[in-house]
Amino acid sequence: MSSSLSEQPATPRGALVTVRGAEKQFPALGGREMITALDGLDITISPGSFVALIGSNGAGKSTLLSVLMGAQFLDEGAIEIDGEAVTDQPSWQRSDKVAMVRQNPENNVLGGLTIEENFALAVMGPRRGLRLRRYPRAEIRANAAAALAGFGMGLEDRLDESSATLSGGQRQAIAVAMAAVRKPRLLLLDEHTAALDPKRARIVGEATTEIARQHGMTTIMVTHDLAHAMHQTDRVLMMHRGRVVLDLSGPEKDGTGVSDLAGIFERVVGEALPDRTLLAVS
Amino acid sequence: METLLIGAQIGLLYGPLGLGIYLAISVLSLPDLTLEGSFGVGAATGAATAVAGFDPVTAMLAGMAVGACAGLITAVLHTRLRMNVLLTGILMTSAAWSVSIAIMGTGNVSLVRIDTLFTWVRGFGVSQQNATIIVAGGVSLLLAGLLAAYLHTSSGLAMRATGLNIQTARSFGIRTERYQIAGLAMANALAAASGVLVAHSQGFMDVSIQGGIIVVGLAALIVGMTILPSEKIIPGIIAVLVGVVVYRIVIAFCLRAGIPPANLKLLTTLIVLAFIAIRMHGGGLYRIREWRQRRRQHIQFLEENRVVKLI
Ligand SMILES: Nc1ncnc2c1ncn2[C@@H]1O[C@H](COP(=O)(O)OP(=O)(O)OP(=O)(O)O)[C@@H](O)[C@H]1O
Ligand SMILES: [Mg+2]
Repeated sequence: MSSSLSEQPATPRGALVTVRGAEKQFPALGGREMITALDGLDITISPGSFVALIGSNGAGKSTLLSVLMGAQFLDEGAIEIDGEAVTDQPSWQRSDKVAMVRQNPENNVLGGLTIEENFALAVMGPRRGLRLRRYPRAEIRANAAAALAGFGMGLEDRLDESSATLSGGQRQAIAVAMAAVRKPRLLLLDEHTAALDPKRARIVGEATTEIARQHGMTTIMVTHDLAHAMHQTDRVLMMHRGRVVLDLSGPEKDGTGVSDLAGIFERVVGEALPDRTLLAVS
Repeated sequence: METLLIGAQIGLLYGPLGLGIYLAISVLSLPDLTLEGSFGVGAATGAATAVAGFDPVTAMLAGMAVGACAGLITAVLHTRLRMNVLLTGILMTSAAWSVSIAIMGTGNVSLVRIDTLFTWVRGFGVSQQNATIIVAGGVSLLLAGLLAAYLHTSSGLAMRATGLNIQTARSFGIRTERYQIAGLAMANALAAASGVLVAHSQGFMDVSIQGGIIVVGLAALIVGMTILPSEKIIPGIIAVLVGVVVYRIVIAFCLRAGIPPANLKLLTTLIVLAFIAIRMHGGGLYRIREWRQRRRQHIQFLEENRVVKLI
């Protein structure tokens, strides 16, 4: 991958992400009741680490990532990313630091534009390069082709095609590649391989890990695949009802097997695991 | 041939309005009805400045500036007060009527014996009709070129992204509210340019010319998109200009065939509906063989139908 795009400063000391006392509620039942998505959450993530975020459906994982991206805002609490208080910063201002691949492929790639144009926006937007002239086409194309080649889906030869014609899995691969060319400080992945077939999911998953490690991007990856969470990451966080209920890293994590984790999960959640998780364990 | 020329002559006057509708609806996905009001205040400003002795180009720019202001107000009401664009446009258009009268100081003014671009071109010995085609076509093509050039810059690309998915656009670092404001100002300036052209070409200005004019722009968009369906910018812009001319040619033929002018609005509605039907159903509307498939498509439409809250 070309390194001419946005060189990163040296890794600062201390945490890259700090979340303190995060509270977020959503109105439910027509506003008569409130659902708590984040319940006094505290998280500290050190630079360059690759963190898996697991938890049952509705645990608040997507909400946490949205809040880190700036697509949603906390009711209470504070967020700091890369030494900057971003609690009230809109997402467009964070785009040079944070990139996110959402759960829904429709929201990651702009359907009415070509793949090349999507890459142009992903690169030029965070650079504040949206001026009254054309984007540097050759440079964007070279970067896009290089980033897409790693996925082996042949997308690098389809840069001029409208992305409206792409499948969900293809969109997710493009979304990861777009995040990669931006080289953000913080990469947020919300079940980015859930829409892919098993083989493709493994390829995209591994390519993503490689890209993140190669550029030292701090990554938070939401997944329901416990084996993937255990084997590919430095740290595993388990969320339940808007709180972190398990934080595994270092020797403690190495000493825990996937089946142990599944056991903890079942005890915490207090209900049977979804089939997908069980499949991943066996 | 004569009918074709009449169609082109009137159609091209509405070219910039079609471009404005294209920008607001197709690019920004904002159904901005303020364009109708901007057409009116643009025409009023163009007339008032011409009467006050300004040259036609200044009159045109002044009209466009006032139209841009109307768009700016709508956009700010939408982004700041979070008002629905459709509703804001209806309110703004209603207000525009009074604003037009205030600008001119009266309900109608005559522009006879006042210099316009049309009289200037006629000075070269060109017929009235050809002068209109040259001036209206020239202005439409110039504005279309500028719009196409803008939409191909990175800033224009960001504006297109804003119209596709606001959340995704913002996560790319695009300040979407600014693009909505700038885009609506541009779209309304285009509509106002049409107003100035119409007022100057017909030699008088009456506030009532804005009434229902948005339908002409919508017709242009729908006819154009039916003839030349494309998501790309240049085909889209060509389509809307072709659309407005074709629409006026159809009207011209109908008038020639003896349909009374009082039925013009009904006729417009029928033309638009006919083109929508062609667009949705292709050629053979009632071929039995495809009945099952059509029925499925219809159920699919009902499944995907969504309610939109106006307030
Ligand atoms: N926009 C919203 N409006 C109302 N409630 C919401 C909204 N977004 C999330 N919630 C609620 O907040 C809680 C947390 O949702 P969230 O999407 O963060 O869960 P999740 O951990 O990502 O689950 P999943 O694994 O299913 O993706 C859920 O109970 C959900 O109902
Ligand atoms: Mg989720």
